[in-house]
Amino acid sequence: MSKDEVILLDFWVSPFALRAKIALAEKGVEFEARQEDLLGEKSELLLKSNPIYKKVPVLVHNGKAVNESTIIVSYIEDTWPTPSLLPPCAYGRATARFWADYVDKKLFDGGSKIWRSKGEEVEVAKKEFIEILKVLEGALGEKEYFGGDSFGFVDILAIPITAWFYAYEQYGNFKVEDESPKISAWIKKCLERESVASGYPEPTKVYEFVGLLRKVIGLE
Amino acid sequence: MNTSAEPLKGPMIIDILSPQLHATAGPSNDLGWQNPHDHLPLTVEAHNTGQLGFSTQMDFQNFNPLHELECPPGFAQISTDPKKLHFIDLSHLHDQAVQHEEYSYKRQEISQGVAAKDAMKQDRENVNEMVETSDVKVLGAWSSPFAWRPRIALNLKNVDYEYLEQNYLVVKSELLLKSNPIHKKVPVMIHNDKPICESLVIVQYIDEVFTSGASILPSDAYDRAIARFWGAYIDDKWFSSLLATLKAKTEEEKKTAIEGVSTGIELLEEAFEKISKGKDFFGGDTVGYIDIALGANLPWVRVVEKLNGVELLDETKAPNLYAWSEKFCSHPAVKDLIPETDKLLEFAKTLIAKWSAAPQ
Repeated sequence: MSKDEVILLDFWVSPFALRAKIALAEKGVEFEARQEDLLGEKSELLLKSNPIYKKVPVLVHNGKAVNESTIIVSYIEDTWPTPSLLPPCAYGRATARFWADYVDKKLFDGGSKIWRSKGEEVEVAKKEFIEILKVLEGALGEKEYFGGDSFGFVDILAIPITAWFYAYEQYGNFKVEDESPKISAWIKKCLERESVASGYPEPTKVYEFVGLLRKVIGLE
Repeated sequence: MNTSAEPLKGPMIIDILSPQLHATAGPSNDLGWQNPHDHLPLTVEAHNTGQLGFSTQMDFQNFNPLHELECPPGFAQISTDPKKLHFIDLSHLHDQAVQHEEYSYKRQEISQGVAAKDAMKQDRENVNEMVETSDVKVLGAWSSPFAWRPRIALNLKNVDYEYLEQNYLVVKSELLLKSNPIHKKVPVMIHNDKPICESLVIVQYIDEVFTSGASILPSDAYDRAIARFWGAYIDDKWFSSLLATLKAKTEEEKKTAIEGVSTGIELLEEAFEKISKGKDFFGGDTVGYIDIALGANLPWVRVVEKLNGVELLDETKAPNLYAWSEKFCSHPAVKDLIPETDKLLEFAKTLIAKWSAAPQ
């Protein structure tokens, strides 16, 4: 059997690329991560594989490119079925996809609003973000993971964004631990996994990176 | 054959082909091995339809994939096919029952999704029997393209459902608020009292649970990723341009928005050529995921065309998509759902008036 060629176009701070790395690691799939310099020039492979968005991650599996992190994780689940990241029953899967969609629409953008705002808007953004955390707390309930007893699809999509929480906390002047202890506990639990810890960027470095982004958009 | 060092966790019945037993208890992959069902406490009732007159309930938790093993003590082998998993824990069954009586197993959890890939044929038949009598409601709104999507999917699968029109721009019904507390929007599908939200999530759910009719999503993983990519593109990037044409406050904004829609149509025309491979639909011979995702927006595209005096779906610039749009809108699963363009146009005008009156 010929070996699979799996390439991931990556950027160290991208939470979306981290999703793909975690999924591949959970499945035990060997892959080559290629760093893209998103603040500099984008590689030819990136521009060719993802002409519409020109973003990471891109998964190139035996020459075929898959774009969009959530879709990449679904593709990884479909292609390498064990261990399963989604529950076996259709309703459980629909529920997972619903929360995946919520995380996609709200979490990163909600956090970004905090450091992209100035003046009074920051407080508004912070309050909205805390609301989002509360909703996610509700989804987590008494479960260990969003996936139930096992680490799964929604956990993979959400955990990388938590590397940016320190930055949100600094700019928003709040602590996730105080506002949402359940989410805090869930983060700690996920970080015990090798698949998560190995690619998870240092939150202080992410904070520095956010500082850089703020300069770019003229906030500093 | 590998033997697992892990002890069997009983009781389990998996993939029963023995003439003594009718139903299977879970999906399997194509080698016949079961997938773990950690999340799912299945309850299977065993009825003795013969003389002994008892019933036994068994709980199945923590299935583990089993390799072929020797029959452990306290278990009985009940399948003659060496590739299928075969053991039943006798301590949970009446002794005589396995050897002598016929059982019919009734699955209590209907929404098992065993109609997912690689499910056993026997299982599919059992589940279909149960879901055919299942209760399906759709909360929708006549003007919402998102709300048409699950209905198109249900029509494609020949599934009966109760449609509950929501006048949700005026007042949100209790049922809507209860079923979709997070977004408070249509569509919502309620299947045996369980709500499913987000139109494309619902379409995937329908595809997995109802197995009659053609598949909506492709079976190949890569093709599925492509289908999902375009579904996401249509809903995230393209739809925001479409909406922006209606919400635009200046001519400049409107122009940009219209350009966005046109660019999207060019991309989709290219995608159609690649994906349809010369057939009628993105899904090939049958209506598929991208067809539903994009097709549901066609009536609003026509409204935007009329409001602005532009041609967005241009027959010369996008001939394939143009031809496709006619086929899609006249498809039996679709044509009765789509409102008259003029009615939608009137509605659009009232919406626009409302938006320009209120601060955004």
